[in-house]
Amino acid sequence: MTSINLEPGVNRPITDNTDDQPGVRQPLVLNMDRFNQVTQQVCQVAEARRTPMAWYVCFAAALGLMGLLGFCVLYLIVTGVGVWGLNNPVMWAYDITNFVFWVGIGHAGTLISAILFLFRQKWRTGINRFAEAMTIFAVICAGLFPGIHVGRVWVVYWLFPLPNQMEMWPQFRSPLLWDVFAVGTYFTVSLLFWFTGLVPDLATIRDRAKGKIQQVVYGAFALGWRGSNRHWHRYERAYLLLAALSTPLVLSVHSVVSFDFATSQLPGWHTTIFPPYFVAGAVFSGFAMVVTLAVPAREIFGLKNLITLRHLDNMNKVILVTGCMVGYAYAMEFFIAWYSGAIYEKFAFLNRAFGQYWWAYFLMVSCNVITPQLFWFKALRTSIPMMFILSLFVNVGMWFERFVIIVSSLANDFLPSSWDVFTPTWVDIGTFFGSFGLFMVLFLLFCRFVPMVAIAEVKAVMPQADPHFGEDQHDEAHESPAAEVRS
Amino acid sequence: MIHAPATISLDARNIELGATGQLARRVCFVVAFVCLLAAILLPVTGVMKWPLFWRCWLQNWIFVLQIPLGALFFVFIQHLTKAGWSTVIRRPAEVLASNLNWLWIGFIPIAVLVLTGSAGKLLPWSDMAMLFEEAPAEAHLVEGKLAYLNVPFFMIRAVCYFAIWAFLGTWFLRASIRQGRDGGLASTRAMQKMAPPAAILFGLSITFAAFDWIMSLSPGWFSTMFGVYFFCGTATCGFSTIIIVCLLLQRNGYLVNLISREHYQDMGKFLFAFGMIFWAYIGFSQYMLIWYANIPEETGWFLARQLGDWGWLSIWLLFGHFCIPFVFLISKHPKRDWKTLMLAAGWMLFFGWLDVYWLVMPTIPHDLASFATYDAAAEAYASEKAGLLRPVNWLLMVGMLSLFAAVTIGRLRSHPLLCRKDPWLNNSLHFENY
Amino acid sequence: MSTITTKPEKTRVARPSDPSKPKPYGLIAEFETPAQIVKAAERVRDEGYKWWDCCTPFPVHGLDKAMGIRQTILPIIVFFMGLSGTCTAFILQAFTNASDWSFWAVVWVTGYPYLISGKPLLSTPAFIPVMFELTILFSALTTVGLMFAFNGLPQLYHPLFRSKRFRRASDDRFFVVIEARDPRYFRSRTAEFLKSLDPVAVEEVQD
Repeated sequence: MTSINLEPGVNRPITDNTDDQPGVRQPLVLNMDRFNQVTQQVCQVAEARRTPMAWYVCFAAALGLMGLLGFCVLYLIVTGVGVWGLNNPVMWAYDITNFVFWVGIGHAGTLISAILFLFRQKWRTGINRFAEAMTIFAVICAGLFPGIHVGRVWVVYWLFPLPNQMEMWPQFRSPLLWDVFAVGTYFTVSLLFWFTGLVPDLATIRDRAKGKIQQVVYGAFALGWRGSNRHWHRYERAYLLLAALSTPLVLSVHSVVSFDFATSQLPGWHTTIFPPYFVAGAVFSGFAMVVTLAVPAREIFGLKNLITLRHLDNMNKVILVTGCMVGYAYAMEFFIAWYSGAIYEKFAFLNRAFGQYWWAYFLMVSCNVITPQLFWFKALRTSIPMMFILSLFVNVGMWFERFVIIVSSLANDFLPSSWDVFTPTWVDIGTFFGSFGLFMVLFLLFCRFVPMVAIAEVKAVMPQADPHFGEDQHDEAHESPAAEVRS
Repeated sequence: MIHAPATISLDARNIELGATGQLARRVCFVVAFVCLLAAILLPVTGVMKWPLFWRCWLQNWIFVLQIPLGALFFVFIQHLTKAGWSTVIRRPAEVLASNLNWLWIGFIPIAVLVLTGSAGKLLPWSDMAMLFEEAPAEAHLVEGKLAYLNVPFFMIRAVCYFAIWAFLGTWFLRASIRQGRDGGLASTRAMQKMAPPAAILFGLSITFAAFDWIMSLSPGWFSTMFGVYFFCGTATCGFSTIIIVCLLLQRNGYLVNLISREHYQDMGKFLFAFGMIFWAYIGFSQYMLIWYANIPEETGWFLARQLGDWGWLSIWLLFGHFCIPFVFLISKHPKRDWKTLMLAAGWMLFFGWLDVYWLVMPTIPHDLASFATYDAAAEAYASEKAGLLRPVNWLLMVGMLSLFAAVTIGRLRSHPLLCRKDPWLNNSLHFENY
Repeated sequence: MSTITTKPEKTRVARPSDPSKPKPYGLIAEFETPAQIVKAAERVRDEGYKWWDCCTPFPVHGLDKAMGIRQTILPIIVFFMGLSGTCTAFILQAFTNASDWSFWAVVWVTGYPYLISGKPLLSTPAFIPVMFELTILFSALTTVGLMFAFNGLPQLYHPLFRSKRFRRASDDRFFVVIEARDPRYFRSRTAEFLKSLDPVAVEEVQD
């Protein structure tokens, strides 16, 4: 149904495929009409003999930050949770904020690979590998925080229902334990999804590998995949099943995270809209992070023909939609806080907006609700610098959203005599920025050694992959949208 | 030319109802007239009390209203996502949605009650004197909400909702018909442009409509999730009805070979996703959070739905709206067979009705707070009746549905059943699941 | 467009059943486009071969039908494994938090009836999140595990990997593979048949 990518005689590469003519699907792979070109373009990064200097620079910086994380965590473990700025009413602050922030970012990957797959959004193929990897690394960063927050890190295995000499079990009515199961399941399933998608592409690299080490390593991870159609048949079924399973899983994970707060009686935390609102926020922040990473990555690794302007445009639309949903949730919370007639609820929300953390609330609303509205304009949606800046805004705004929810509600709860102010210490701040180091280290390693775009899936959505490709080209050239009625 | 298999015919015999359907329309009108008349005779002759009748009226009217609202959501979401697969089923959905321009008639009795100050039994906030007498504690709480819950503002909001819905419902049908006449891309582009504002208006209007017409029946109670829960109801009823209408048209020899099993499978998926899974997700989250925190202002609402018969009805709703159809529709085969899909859609439509019944009919007993324990309350109200078998429920449901069906058939007759010049038609005809 | 570049030295040499010499694995034919492989697959299927396959760089639409592959039973197994996940989670939670039973499972384990925040011992609403998560976990592990198991993977060595030509199966070429163990397999006749499908090349692969 799609027009051909390269018209003969036209040498100028196509860069803009964002035009929408009703009835016509724009190509998602630009300036390439042979499958081999896709293989070549993606594999060249992982196959390159020399690593670009920019990569080493970024990697060194990321390692440095990761060192900071390691130091802060070590200092915490040997000294105690007192090194954080926590105080009596505010017993959760940076750590849980960071946990929710990273889990939220980890939602885009599975959304792209699962929900967009079920909705038959073919553009997902350009970015899903990338986003899934980001998901896994973000969940690793997220898992770190509750792990170190428990205080006695060495008994963290008490979180799991393991028989022990004390005949003690975890308390399954606690939402914090649901988190263990939800995040654990999410990490496992995301990893399975990612790996399942990777197998055919690892086979591609294995078959092209020149060196013995590469052949062995990629060959081992490719599990001996040989593209048999009898295998593809079960593979596709399994992929569909995984997508169908991951879709409710994505919804559940951030819902369970929201239960940590919403099951309590604390004003500002106890509100029934939290589950869908947190999910929308997670998707929102996840897509923002994908844009933040995709914009430089497609530049540096030369993937502009695969991660096209259309992909970015679509992601920005998702950011706009989820940003509006988050705005809806903010409005509902505010309205119902007033409507409930409960004085504590009313106070909690007024305090958020005008209390001691007003600046955080202001940042949250302006970055999450107001600035994304700029994406209503196509010119801004398709402008690379603009989307990069706006996606950074969203990342900042979503961190502050969690900060506002957690800290402002705890700091000023029912009893004014127990109110207190939270101020982060250098360990709080160091751990937070250090977690970006961990994330970037993993991400840079991924970019260097793993095919960054799902090669097989991209090929499958090229018009040339259709067995009927080219059969009715002549007709299509004359096809007018206003088709004649056949009598 | 449309690249369609030779079996596909776009001639008038296949895509226009013409004179047929006249009989069905008349029968529907007669049934509607008889049922509604019989229903009104019940309170007139003193068989039942007026307040209960108006509560049943409100419940059935909201149920019927959910159908075009769900259809409207279906229509604009297709334009919003530039979907190609759905073109062949869009016209029935557009026609269903266009009913929003007359369904406000059902609200007139409620409006009259509210304006004359005699709706105290239905919407307690509209008669504060009575509320203070019956439940002073609740009245005290409600007093703080009167800036929102007052008669003039309530009426203004209702007018706004009806204006928005009538405009959107008829606008999409008209634009689509214009496109079917001239075949140009301008109308399609206009519909795509209208979809985002339509989504925002739709989301806000159904949220506040749900607050006004359902949540405020128990004015002390509140839930931020309630608008989303109501949306699930509209999706359930709307998608079920679109499926039923398409299947009925095809069984009667229209749209033959245009709507295929592939489209039904996708519609089945929509019903499965929104009507069952999303509903269960929202319903569970709302219930669990209120159950867990156990704050008296909030739990009363659910407690009223657990007393006596209502407890069984709640469990029935859980199984009938989620568990049973979930297992039934999870495989692709029942979604692709017209008999099983028809059964599932009819079943879901009924449980959509029961969901509204569960939302609207129970009232929170005013003395709930005086019981020391849950068990004491449960015992005191053990004989609470859900009244599901009251004839007025069924007379009003059949009557309103028949009236809705009669008007819908009339509108289906006056327009082609297919968006036959839609730019995505070709795409839709070749659509296959994977 | 397709010039047959069959390697004559490989197809011409007769292979007696001498155990010291490598046995043939089968014949592969290389095609350039999805359309060709679908047509070829239909022909091979109609010819009545049983031990054969198509190897493609991505799943080709309609090839399952052309090859006559039966639907996998994977989804049904996954459904029941999911159900068992739900039950496992419920039993786990009810046992550990709402019962005081003891039983032997490698070690003696005893439940502990927690009474917390005034909730009933068997707090079903609070158990649902974990029930849901384990349903998904069991289903997903089954899906991926069984998919690879049914496919006979991991299998790091395969005779087809001997062929240099076959390496393009993961890049841009489409192969029909007919195995020597097929009862209808006769080297020259099958090679002739494959050539009649208009491939780029036909090649014999040794086991």
